[in-house]
Amino acid sequence: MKKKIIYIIVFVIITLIGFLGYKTITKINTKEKITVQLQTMPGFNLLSMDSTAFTNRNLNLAQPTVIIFFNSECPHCQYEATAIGENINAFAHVNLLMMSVEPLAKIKAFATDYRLDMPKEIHLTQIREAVVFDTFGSISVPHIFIYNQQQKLVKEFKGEVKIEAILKYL
Amino acid sequence: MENKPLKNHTYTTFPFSKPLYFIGFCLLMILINYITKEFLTTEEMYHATLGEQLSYDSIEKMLALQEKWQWVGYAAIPLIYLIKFTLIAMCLSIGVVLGNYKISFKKLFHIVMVSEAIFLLPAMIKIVWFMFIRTDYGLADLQFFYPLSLLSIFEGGTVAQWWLYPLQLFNIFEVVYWFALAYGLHVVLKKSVNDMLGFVLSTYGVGLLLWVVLVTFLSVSMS
Repeated sequence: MKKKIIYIIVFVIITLIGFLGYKTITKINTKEKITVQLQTMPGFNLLSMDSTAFTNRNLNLAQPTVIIFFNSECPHCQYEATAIGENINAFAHVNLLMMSVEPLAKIKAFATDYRLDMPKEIHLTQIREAVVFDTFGSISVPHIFIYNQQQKLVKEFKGEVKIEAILKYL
Repeated sequence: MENKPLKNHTYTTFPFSKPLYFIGFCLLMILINYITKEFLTTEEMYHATLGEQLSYDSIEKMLALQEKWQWVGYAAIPLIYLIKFTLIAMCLSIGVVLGNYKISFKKLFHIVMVSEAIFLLPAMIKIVWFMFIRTDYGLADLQFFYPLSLLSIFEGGTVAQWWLYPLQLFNIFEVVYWFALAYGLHVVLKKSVNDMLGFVLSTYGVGLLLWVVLVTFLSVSMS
C-alpha cells in the first residue's frame, strides 16, 4: 500500500515537472512574441474620459509618444502623475497616453486630483483588461513605453521613473 | 553500552551536537550575508545602478526601508534552512521507502545538514573575489556571479532574468553536494557510493528538477 502511494507521488511529480516545463516554455514564447510586437507602437482602441473611442488617429504621430500604464491607487503611479504634472511644459510636443483598466469615474478622479485633465498633451484613457494582456502581455504598474516619431520603441521602463529619465529618450 | 562500528562514526557519533551544528551553520550564513551586505554593496552602487531610472529620494527611501527590515532576512535564515533540509530529507526518504532501505528520517536530515556545509564555499569565494580580486564591480556583477557555474560562461546582461537561477544552480559545488549526500548514505547504509549516487540523483535530483522548474515558472510569470 505504501509503495502504491509512493508510485503515485512519483507519477504526480513527473507530471508536474512536465506541466510546469510546458507552461514555462509557452509563457516565454508568448513574452518573446509580445516583445517583438511592441517594437512598433501597437494600434489602440481605447475609451477616452468623455466615453468616446480613442485610437492612434487621435494622436499626433509626428510627435513621440509616451504610453503610461497605471492604476490610480498605486503610489508609484501617483508619484509619476505628480512628476508629470509639475513638468508638463517639458511634454509640450509629446503625446502622453495614459491608460488604465479601472472604471472611467476612477480615472477621471485621478486626472482631477493630479491636474492631468487640462493639458492637451495628456490623454487619459481606459483600456480593457483582455486587450492589455494581448497587447502588452502581463505587465505591472506603472509601466512606460516611449515611442519615437517613427512609432519605434526607444525605451521601456518597469516601475517608477524620474522625469529626467523619460525626457532623455524624447 | 555497545561500541558503534567506526564506519558509522561520522554520522552516528557526530563530534558536535546536532542542534549546535545547525545553530553554528545558521550563524555562519548570517555572518556571510552580513559581510556581503555591509562590505560588498554600497549606497553608491545602488545609486549608480538605479539612478538612471529612479530619483535620488526614491533610492534613499528604498535603502532606508531595506535597512529597517534587514533583520527579518537574518532571522529567517534558520527557518529557511530548516525547511530546505526537511524537503531534501523528504525527497531522500521517498527513495528509502521505495528501495526498502533501513535509515531513519532523522539520520537523513543529519546527512543533508552536514552536506550543506559545501555551499559555504561559493559564498565565501564570492566575498573574497569582490573584496580582493575584482574590486571594480557593480550590483549586476554581484547578481550575476556564482563561481564555477553555468552562469559564469555567459556575459552579464545576455541572459534573461528567468534563466539566472537555473544556470546558477548547475555548478561544481552542487555536484560535490550530490557526492557528499551519496557518501553519507554509503556510510550509514553500507552500500557502494555509486549505488548511493544513483539513489541521490533519482530522489533529490528529481526534487531539485521540480524545484528549478517551479522557480523558473514563477520567475517567468512574475517578470
